[in-house]
Amino acid sequence: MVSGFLGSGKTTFIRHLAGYLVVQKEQRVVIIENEAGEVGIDDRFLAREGFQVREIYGGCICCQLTGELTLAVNQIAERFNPDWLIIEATGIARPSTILNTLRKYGKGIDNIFTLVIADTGRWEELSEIMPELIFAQIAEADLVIAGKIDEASESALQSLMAKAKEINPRAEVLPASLIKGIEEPVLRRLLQHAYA
Amino acid sequence: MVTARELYEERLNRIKTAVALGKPDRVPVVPMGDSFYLKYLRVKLADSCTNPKLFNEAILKAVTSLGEVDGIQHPSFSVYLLSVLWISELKIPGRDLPEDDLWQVDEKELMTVEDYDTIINQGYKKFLDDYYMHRLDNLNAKFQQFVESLPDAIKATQDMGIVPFSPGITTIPYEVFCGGRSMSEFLKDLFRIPDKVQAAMDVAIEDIVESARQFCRAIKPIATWVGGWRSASEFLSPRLWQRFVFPYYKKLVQAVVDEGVIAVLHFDSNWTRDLEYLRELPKGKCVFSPDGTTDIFKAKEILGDHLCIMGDVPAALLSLGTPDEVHNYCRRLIENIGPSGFILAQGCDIPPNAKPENVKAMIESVKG
Repeated sequence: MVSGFLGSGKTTFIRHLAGYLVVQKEQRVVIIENEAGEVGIDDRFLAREGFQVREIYGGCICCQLTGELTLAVNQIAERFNPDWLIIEATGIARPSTILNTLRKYGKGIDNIFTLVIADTGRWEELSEIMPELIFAQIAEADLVIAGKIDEASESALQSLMAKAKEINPRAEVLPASLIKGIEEPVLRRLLQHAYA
Repeated sequence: MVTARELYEERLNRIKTAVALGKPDRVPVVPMGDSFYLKYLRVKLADSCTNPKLFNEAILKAVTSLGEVDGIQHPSFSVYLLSVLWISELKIPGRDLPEDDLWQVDEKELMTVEDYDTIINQGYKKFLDDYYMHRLDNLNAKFQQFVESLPDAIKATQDMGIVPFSPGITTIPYEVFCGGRSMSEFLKDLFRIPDKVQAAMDVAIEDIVESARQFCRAIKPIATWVGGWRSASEFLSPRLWQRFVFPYYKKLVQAVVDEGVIAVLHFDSNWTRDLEYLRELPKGKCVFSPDGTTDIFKAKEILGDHLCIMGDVPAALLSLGTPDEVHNYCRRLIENIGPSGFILAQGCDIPPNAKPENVKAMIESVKG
């Protein structure tokens, strides 16, 4: 499950990860887009690139999304039995909100791996405005990607990495630009975490 | 034989006793499930979501076949209500989406940074009239159909002995601006031009309060929603929440209560951090209605002697759980949050994919 605030680069990241899994690892991958509050263009972008994409929307906010998402996961498990199901979580949810429902009612799930894309470019702003949500997304992740480092100062990156270590010492923090792609060692490292 | 009028009075008394923090003969149940009712009746969402009269008929047909409810939160609905709340475009089934897909708020940056100046210099009403006309395709005309249909929808509901509890919705400038600017851009505004945003909010709240007063006087509802979605505590630091959110709720709620109308704080997402502030709202005149995310048991602890609590059967439980699980959850609420000052309902809205047997279990649970 890929979480991170609105505009942090989740879809771009998923595009790279899914491409790597399909092309390099010959894995069967399905993607669920589970968004509230962003222009619904990202899913079309992924679908155009040939990925199997399922969209999940809520009427106005997240309260209705988790049930719909879990039903979609169960249908996908039954129909496609993919090796990987990548869920783009809504940017305004804590991962635990979704994970609790998935763990209780989800079917065909061997393991759930959660990563968060933290927006390094907007780190100072978002940690000032909505610290609880941003820190909770990091605290509940197995891996933290410090994204958009090309748009951020070195001090912002250092601040993010220090805060991430403070609130979630068990999670590795990997800096990445995302827009320029993700280097294969980073993707390999990510898979090592996911399989661990 | 009890008449519909007698039944209505009995149910209204039950609800009003709960709101006034008293102990009714049993806990009232007042659900809402706009899209669920249509799905349950196999009515296409496209056919009803812009037709409030059809929507009212569907709601009444659905609730009366699901069990004995004391009231319903909305006697009617129109998707344009969402467009008014968040000054956003919509994706409408049958027009932008397949006929039976759920409507969506199409959140994007429709309101500009310059619009804050327009609001400050020319007034909120002038800004809004122009915005509705030119950026939301004459929204006023479309929304008017809903407003005009409300008296008939309210009467049709009462005629069936059911209380049309909260037919209207209002909200604070934060929600409106957040929808119009898009959440991502709006948060940038709060960081970069907070004084300008606040100045625009201070202008807007006066017109919003006046509109709420006019609505209460024209429709004379029992209650009205004062909704909160993106302004939830979990989305904002305490300092910003205390500056941009709570003062405006306090003002709007007081205006509604001054009109003799109950303010239903329909608050989605997590408000647990700031529950203590809600004690500043008028005692026994409001209903705190969380969506299953706020800790409702904590809410009882902090607000139980001050505000009635309504909720909060989670959407996921109604979609994925069993009738026994729903019953057990409801009984836990009734016994721990109630029996005084409590109304049983779903959290937020019954989702379109809820199992009808779960909704029936929720309604039935108030009987023991």
